[in-house]
Amino acid sequence: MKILILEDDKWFADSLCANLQPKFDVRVCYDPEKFFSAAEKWRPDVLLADVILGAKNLFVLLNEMQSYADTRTLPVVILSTAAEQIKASDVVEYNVKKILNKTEITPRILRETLLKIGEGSS
Amino acid sequence: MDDFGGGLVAAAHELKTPLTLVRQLSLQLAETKDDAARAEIARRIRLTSERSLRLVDNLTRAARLESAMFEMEPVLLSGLCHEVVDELSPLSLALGQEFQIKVGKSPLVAVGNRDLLRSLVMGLVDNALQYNAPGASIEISTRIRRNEAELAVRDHGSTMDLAEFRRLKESLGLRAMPIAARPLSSGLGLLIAQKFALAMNGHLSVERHRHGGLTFRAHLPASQQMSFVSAGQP
Repeated sequence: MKILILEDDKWFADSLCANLQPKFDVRVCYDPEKFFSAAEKWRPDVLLADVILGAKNLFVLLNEMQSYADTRTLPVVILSTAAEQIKASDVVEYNVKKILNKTEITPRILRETLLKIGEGSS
Repeated sequence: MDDFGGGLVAAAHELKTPLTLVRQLSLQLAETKDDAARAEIARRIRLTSERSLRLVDNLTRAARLESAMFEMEPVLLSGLCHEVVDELSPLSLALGQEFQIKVGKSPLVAVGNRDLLRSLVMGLVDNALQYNAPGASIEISTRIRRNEAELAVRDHGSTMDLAEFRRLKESLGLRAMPIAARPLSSGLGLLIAQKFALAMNGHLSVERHRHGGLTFRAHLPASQQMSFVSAGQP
């Protein structure tokens, strides 16, 4: 299963990658501007993304993803320190399957969540 | 929200990111067996913790600023720049960034409190490290202009649009303000730096660059005591 991590904090992204790599095929995109080319070339099964991504926030990107055939159905898992401020009902139309809190998540729960979502979409 | 409440929220926001990173790195450490990888994770935990501690130190210092008496003295800016760069080199190395110091041949001396000035410059350089483009350098320079000693820190972060730049310029030093193009910060570090500059009869300014990045400049009273420096004192 291929997981694309979209996270602009390099050390956090590298750490997530290390947690996931034994079970998944993982790639990291640090720059939201490069997300679409990464998604087009690599075709991930799940996108694991932070909300605040430099000049572009994830919601702008999610909106744009809906306009392209190849990214419209990509399942998204949000991983954010502001998870409690995001309502699932507000983002369900963007194919967001789960909202996880960065301050509480453990590697095991993250792996289980991604596995479940990835399997559900295939 | 009052100033106190606003300050608390900004401090909490500012500390949440590094604490979350430390937590994540410690979770990774628990799952990692390779010694070299463990040593690198431990180094990242230490550097992230030190960065947070610097912020906490500065917050405490800023809170005590109004009641504290501090000594003003001539401070050689080039020496201060090298000191700060030496201290932040492990962090810049870990982030894959480098420093460039550009100071003139003649010594430039500002009048200020050495500790406050050091904290101010550390704050500006740390801020630049956080937002600089990978592989780009951070330029630290000094110059004298209109009897003011200026110390500038330029990063090569993302481009800031005009509306946001204006908001940043207007709020600089008045209140902590999150910057959309610089999401890891609540702007608290800049507020503290401005407080330190004002306490030394100086101020901060900011300019943006067309191809990305910002320059923050500390303007301080210049010392006329050049003989003090040539006599070999710090």
